[in-house]
Amino acid sequence: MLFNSVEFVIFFIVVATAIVIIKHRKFQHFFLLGSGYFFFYISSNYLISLLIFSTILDYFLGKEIYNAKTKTRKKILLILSLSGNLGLLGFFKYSDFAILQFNAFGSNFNLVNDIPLLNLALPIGISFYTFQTLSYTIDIYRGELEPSKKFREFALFVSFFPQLVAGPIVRAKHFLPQLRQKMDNNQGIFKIKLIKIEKSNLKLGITMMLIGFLKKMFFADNIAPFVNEVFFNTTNSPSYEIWLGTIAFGIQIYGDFSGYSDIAIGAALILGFKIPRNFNKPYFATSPSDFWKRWHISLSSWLKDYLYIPLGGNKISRFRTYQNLLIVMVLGGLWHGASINFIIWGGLHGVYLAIHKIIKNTCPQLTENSFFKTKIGKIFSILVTQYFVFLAWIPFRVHETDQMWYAMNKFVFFDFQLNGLLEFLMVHKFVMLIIMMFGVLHFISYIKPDIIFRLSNLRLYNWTIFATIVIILVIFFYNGNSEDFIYFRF
Amino acid sequence: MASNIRILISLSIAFLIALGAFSLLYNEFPDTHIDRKNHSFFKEKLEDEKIFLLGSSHVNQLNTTHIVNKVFTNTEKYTVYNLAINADDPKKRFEDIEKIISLNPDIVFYGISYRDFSSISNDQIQQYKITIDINPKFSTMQAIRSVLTELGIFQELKNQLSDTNSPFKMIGVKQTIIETKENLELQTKNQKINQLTIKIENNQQASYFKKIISKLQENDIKVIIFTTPISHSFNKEIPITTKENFKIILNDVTEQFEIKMYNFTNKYSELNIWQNPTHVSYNMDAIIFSEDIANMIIQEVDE
Repeated sequence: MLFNSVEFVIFFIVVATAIVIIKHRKFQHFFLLGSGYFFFYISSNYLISLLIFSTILDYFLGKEIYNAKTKTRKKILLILSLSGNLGLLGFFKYSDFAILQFNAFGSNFNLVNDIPLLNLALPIGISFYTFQTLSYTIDIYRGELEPSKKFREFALFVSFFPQLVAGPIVRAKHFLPQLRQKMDNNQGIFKIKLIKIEKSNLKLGITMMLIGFLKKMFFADNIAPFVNEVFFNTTNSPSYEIWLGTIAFGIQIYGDFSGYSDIAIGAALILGFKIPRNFNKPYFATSPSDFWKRWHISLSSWLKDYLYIPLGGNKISRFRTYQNLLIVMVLGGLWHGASINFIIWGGLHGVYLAIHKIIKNTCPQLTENSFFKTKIGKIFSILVTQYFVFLAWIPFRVHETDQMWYAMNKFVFFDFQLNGLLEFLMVHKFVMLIIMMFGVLHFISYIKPDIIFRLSNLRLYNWTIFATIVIILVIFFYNGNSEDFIYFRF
Repeated sequence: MASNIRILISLSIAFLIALGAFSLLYNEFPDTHIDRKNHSFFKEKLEDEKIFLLGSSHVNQLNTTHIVNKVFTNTEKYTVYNLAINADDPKKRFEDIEKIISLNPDIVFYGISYRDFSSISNDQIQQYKITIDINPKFSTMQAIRSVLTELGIFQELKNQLSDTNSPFKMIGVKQTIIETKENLELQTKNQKINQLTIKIENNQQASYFKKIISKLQENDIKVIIFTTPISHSFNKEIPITTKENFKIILNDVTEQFEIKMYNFTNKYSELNIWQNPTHVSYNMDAIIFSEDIANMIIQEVDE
């Protein structure tokens, strides 16, 4: 069930209405849990069993880790949790990739090279919920979280439908306390709060969902055919086509994924849950590290807290720090999918981060230069950063290796073959207009960071006008066949 | 609670305004996909002896007036109707084939092009998916074009041309242009023809094409197919496997249904008659294509 479908809208209205009607907290939790499983079953069918397995495994291991008397036992139990979750993830997501590499290796050295592929179906959202449940057991191991006392609480955390299949990756320590929030019933007895649809949450949640639909259905879906056309076959494409295609893809993936996140955050907010934001104007990042504080924040912070810091972070030798950055980003790339392309994408970002760190460490006078604090300096930093960010989008999008290298080459070494440019722009004038519109709106959201709050705080009359405009744009430019969310594949 | 209700009412109003505006727009600029089903042509009383031309924009570019006159003069009995629709394909055509059969044509000439078999098949019908069988974007773009045309920015709709017995024809001054070879090359490149692929296995469009022919034959309607012409620039770029697969599908159809096929694919590729790489211009200087189609009809009627 996609967020951008009629059935999701119906499903969400039913869930929200039921939450208002149900006046008992326990039943509200059960109902949300059932809704999550229903939502997941519609999308994944029998693969829901993996989600349930993961939930049961980590619920019991979490308890055991917490109750374990010795450090060694805690460690063993944590390793069990890691192997169970990562084992499932690895088996379903990476086994065919590993077999392919093994066969390729075997054929080079006259060894076994005909291991058949398993052709397993990739369970939707497995990368997301695996990281969520892992954060739970790791936090308990670190003593930062108490295990959930009730199975239904933990199961609801794992299966909460707004963020279930494509994030944001919510941490247990952020979500579980919201389930246990207590309120005074004026008789001195503290009871666990009922889930209520509050006015401020409703308006802000709907506003976020509207913005999400706009990003996905107006921007991403209308740009997607152009991107498909440019990258279907890049052979002989001039540089301007590669540049325009890459820029369009950058906007498409941002609209697609941040649109999904906005809908998820908005839907959760309406139901009374706060999910941390996942994007913060990433195309205005002024450095590679700044980019990762703005792009897929829930994943980058997860990788930082559970991988980069345990590897030593930046508290070790400089060389090891650079090495760790590279390892973390390559694994981050691999998290997106079992493909060399994602490794290259992650690797490139690792290199960017390492180089940025090297420059910061070796030439602090350069990064601290007052020029970079001026407006022009900032624009310069943004342009340079985005040049490299967009370059890295090419391996993310183009899966044929030779075409990927060709496109990257054309992106870096501009060929100045501009004879067909005007014709190309004229043929794709509608997409160009959408790209420009996106640029303007992205800029507005950059200079007015609280724009969504401002919109949600509009007087009801003005807010209705805003909602009408958004709905008109979404409906009028819906082509009857919306693209799947890109991050559903991960 | 009251505030929540006010917010929801506001949202509902926004929805209603948007949907209302869309229904007005849709009324004015209907999606052709829907329009064809309820077209007034299917309610008209037609001549007794009739021949239908089916296909997409490639067939729409034919000068039907010329064909109607020539065929009627030569046969003294048959009236030709060009039912081609821009952006048509066998799957879409299958939806109104019953209506076409109900009009009882004597012969159907079906113009087929590479594009007809190249669309991506979507055999996997998604479970639980509620499908909206309209394309709002199409109507919106039509409306925008219309406004721009009124302002004189676009010319093709303002100068809409009419043609005899062509109820679905949408053709403007732009379609009468004959492009230079250089422009054709450039357009071919921008259209990325080298990416056009046709698969043989599970080709959904090909199976709809077969279903159409089968339905027509079941109703004793003679079917002739003809391939629509392409320019040299297009022919040069199209992948060999695409050409071969196109041929395999058509040979399979002609053998299975024992029908005749006329091949116009490369007949005019070197001539200066092209509006774009796959469309012969709707221009008297490019009448050769319409002339040949008329001759083909006359020949088949004689047989």
